[in-house]
Amino acid sequence: MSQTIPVAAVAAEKPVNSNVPAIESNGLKKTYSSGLFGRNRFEALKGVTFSVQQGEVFGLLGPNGAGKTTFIKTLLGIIRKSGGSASMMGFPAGSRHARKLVGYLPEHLRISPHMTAYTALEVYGNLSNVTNAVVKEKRDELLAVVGLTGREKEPVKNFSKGMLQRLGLAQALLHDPQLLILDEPTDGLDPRARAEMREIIRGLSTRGVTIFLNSHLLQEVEMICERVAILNHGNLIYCGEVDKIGEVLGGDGQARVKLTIAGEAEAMKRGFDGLEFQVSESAEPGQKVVNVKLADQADIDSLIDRLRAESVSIIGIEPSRVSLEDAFLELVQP
Amino acid sequence: MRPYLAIIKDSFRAALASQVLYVLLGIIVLVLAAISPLHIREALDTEIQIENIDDLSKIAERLVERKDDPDRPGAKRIWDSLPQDVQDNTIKNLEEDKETGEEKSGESKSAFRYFDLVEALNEVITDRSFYQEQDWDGKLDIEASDLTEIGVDKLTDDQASRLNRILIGRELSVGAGSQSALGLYYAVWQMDTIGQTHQEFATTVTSVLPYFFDKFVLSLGLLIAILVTANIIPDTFEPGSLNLLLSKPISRSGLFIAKFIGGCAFVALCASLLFVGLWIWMGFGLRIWDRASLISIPLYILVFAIYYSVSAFAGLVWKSVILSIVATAAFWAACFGVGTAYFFFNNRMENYETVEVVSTDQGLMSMDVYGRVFVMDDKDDSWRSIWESGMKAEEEMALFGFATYMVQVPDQDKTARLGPAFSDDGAACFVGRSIMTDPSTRRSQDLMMSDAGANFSKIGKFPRGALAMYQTDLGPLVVSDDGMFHRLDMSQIDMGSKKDVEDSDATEENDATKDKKVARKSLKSIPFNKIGPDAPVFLRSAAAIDFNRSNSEIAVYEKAVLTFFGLNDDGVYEFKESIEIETGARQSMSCKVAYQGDMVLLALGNGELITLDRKSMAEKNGYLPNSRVGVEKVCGSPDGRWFAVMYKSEELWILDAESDSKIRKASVAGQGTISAVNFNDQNQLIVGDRTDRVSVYSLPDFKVDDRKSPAGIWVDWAYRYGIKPIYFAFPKPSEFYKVVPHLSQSSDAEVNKDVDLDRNAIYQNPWSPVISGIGFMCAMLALSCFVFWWKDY
Repeated sequence: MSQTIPVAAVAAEKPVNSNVPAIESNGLKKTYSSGLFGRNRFEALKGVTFSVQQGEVFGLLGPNGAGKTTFIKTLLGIIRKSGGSASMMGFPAGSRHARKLVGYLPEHLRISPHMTAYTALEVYGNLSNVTNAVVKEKRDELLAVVGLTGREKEPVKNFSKGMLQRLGLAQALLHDPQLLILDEPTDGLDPRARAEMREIIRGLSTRGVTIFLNSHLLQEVEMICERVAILNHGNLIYCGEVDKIGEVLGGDGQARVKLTIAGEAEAMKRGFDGLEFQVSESAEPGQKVVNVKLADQADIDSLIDRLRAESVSIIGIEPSRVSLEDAFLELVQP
Repeated sequence: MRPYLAIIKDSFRAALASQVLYVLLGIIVLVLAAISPLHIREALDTEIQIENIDDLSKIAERLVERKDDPDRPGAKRIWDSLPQDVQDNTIKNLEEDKETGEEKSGESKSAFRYFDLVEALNEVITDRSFYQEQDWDGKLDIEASDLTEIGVDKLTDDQASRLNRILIGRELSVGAGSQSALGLYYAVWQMDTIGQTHQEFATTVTSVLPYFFDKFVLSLGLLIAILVTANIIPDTFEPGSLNLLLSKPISRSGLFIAKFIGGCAFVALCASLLFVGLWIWMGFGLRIWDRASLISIPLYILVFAIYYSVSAFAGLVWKSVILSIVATAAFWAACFGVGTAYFFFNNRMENYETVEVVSTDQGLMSMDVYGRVFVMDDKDDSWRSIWESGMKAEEEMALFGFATYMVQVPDQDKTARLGPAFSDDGAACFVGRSIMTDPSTRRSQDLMMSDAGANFSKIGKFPRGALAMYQTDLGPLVVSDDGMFHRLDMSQIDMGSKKDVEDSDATEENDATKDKKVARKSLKSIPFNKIGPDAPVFLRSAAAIDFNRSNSEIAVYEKAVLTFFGLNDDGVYEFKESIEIETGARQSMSCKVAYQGDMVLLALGNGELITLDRKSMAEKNGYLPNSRVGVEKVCGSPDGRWFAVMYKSEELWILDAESDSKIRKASVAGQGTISAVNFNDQNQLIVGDRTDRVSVYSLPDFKVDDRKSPAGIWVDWAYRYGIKPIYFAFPKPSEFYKVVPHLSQSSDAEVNKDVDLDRNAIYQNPWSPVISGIGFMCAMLALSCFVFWWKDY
């Protein structure tokens, strides 16, 4: 898979105010109704408010049923909002103007089996009002970008899931979108293909395309995205930079320390008495690794004093880093 | 438009990618290849065609009479060539006819019994040894002489048969047929000889083929198309496919409509191949270049689209291929149910339809399709049946069979105009009633006579072959099919005395009326006297005659000649004048005549209306208000000013002879349901519509002077206010075969002067399936678009 994004395949100058957020959501709500006369109601979005600036690579996270897909569908007008407001590139979410500026790769993409890569690009390009001449001009470059060179005229029914995803990405780029919404783009791809997809996304980002990424793969989001939003049960529980998610978690006045210690088990137990900690075995025989939450430096000093008083050897001590996964798991606790 | 065209284009790709499409296209090609060797070409006329002979019994009569004539050895040769059983049957049938003819004058002979004779004659025609020079010495016409000069042994089989056909035709006075006829061939093999002109053949083909293809070929094709295309809409709603489509800058309605149109591409391909292939085959093979085949392409795409709109809607709502197919099948069943209910009720209502209505001294009288005569009872605006007591059980049984089409329906022209007529003092009214007395199609034409209370009883029989009866100053006058006129001889009628009569329809009459009823009987079985003319004109139809109420002349039209007969001082009719009418059509074209005042209106079978001035015997005007529907009846007002033209489509037009202006559609109620029309002595227009309603209008402003609306039975109400409106609003995709003949040039009198519109199938509102179909499809599409727009996915 090539990692060079052709100029023609990325966002060109568009008459859109660069100060306008790429996505803006203010108290966005969506309630599903079902059953007789819609008596069964379910709130999928409970007033979600955040914005994504142009040029950002933004991740949307949340457990199953958190409202992520509902949020994307509401942005694209596939479903109607129940309250609040949302916009894309300054246009009301779901409007035809907004959709013109968006490239979308849906989850579980399905392309009619009678199509070839060429005809799929022609059809989806035409649907985005791209002329056949432009499609013909761009299609080979795009297929090269997504690594489908040589499979142009093959029916897509012969394509693997990964190849379909790549074709889906190619069609999403065909009309030079300013905002790219990718719903689980690496789902079903092997590790190598994932890495290539990441590179494509990074490449697009450097060209000024706003990327809005919905993915279950937290590590991937952590690697690609600058900012993330986390939804849980229709509520926005975090929106900010990926690097600072630990600070947010630390905002409860607690510090995390990882200790490597050795000594009698009973002595260790007495030393950590009254504290919140997790113990794991160390690679070295007789040693334990303990992650412990403490209020401040005075508590750290006090803990060290107590352990020493119990004759527990302190082999190492270091501050503990909070990963996105840790933060996610902690934030979305049921 | 680009996005929507892309969807349609992709649907074509999907259709082309479908293997089923190729299978269907292959089947169509095979069907076309199979029928393509079928063609017509000129062939020698070598068969006696039953349909071209007016009276088969006359062939038998001539053959039996002439076989023993020493001057006609040819007839003996023919007779001797027939198988013994055919000879025996022929003699037996003739003897039976003779017996029944004497006893039951007025019966028509059954033609069926002579079919075997005609078949045997056609067998004789193929016998190469039939021709013996000594039998036909000096009797050969030019064509036969030419053939014999070649030498009988050297003639081809067809030529030998042609020679025999000429000889037999001439000997039995049925004509030699045209020298050439249309031969139906499959490749080099002759399958049949077509006893029609090419124009008639074209009309037949263009009216029959659409029905055949609609019911057999297209039904199967549509079923397959529905099955194959049922997945298009549900497939669109798979999340991975739909979400991507909905994220594009296109409208949902546009997306759905484009998908729908794309689905029709499948049928468009198949229908185009089939009908273009048929058009080419009909053009080259049958020499019928008729646009109807090409017009069928969009029509049958529309038929599919109607069904597909249901399938698409179901697919949109349930996203299931199976449910789409089930919904389409349910829709078909609903259409079939509504159509069947309409057909059932409509047929039932037609059984009661008034086909003749007249104003009499005893009130309004009407006649229904079965020749049953009714009198209007002004007390409660209901029709009272003229039902003679003592009808034989077998007659009632026969009537029942007649009503259910178990036996052949007699020519209605011959029953519809038998009266009423009145005695010179107006105290008695006479009508004819035709009843079936034998399920083998024999008819009895009874003469019924009323007393002053409009109570009728049978008094005798009509002359044989009676076609029409008129009221004249000298008493009822009857015209028979041999061109003779007969006047009722009142002296032969026993006026009878009061007597109790058992009435089979007693519930309709009160006791007082019953007491007045008088039983009468004529002194001889046929109480009529012949009153000329010396040179009668053989008549085929009652409609070709009319009696002028102002001067008592009778006008008769036969083979483009209009003849007038008038009364002499002795009260006998004699020839007055005749004129050959330049119709521009073949001479044998049927015609209906209305002659009142000084004007004659001729309504030709090709729809052309011609007016003539009796005094100058000059043609005045020609009209063609409707080039596709035949004229059912024409009649004129006694003063000769107004002429009514009732079409088979049950519409009424009026011609004002005084202003000599345009013929125009009458401003009367019930257009499209008008089944009877007449004028009374006050020159008022009487119109029967809506089965049995009768209205009397003053002209020229069409003011309603009187209206009789019988309450009707529940069937009538259910039909008029339930079934009929539902039927007209409901889509009728299975009735599109009615539209195609309507568009055929071969059945359009403007294009084809020789077309006999009476032979055209009459479809009320031929565009109704198209209009209701488009309406339904648009409604379904609008509903689908709304659901698609409203629903979250």
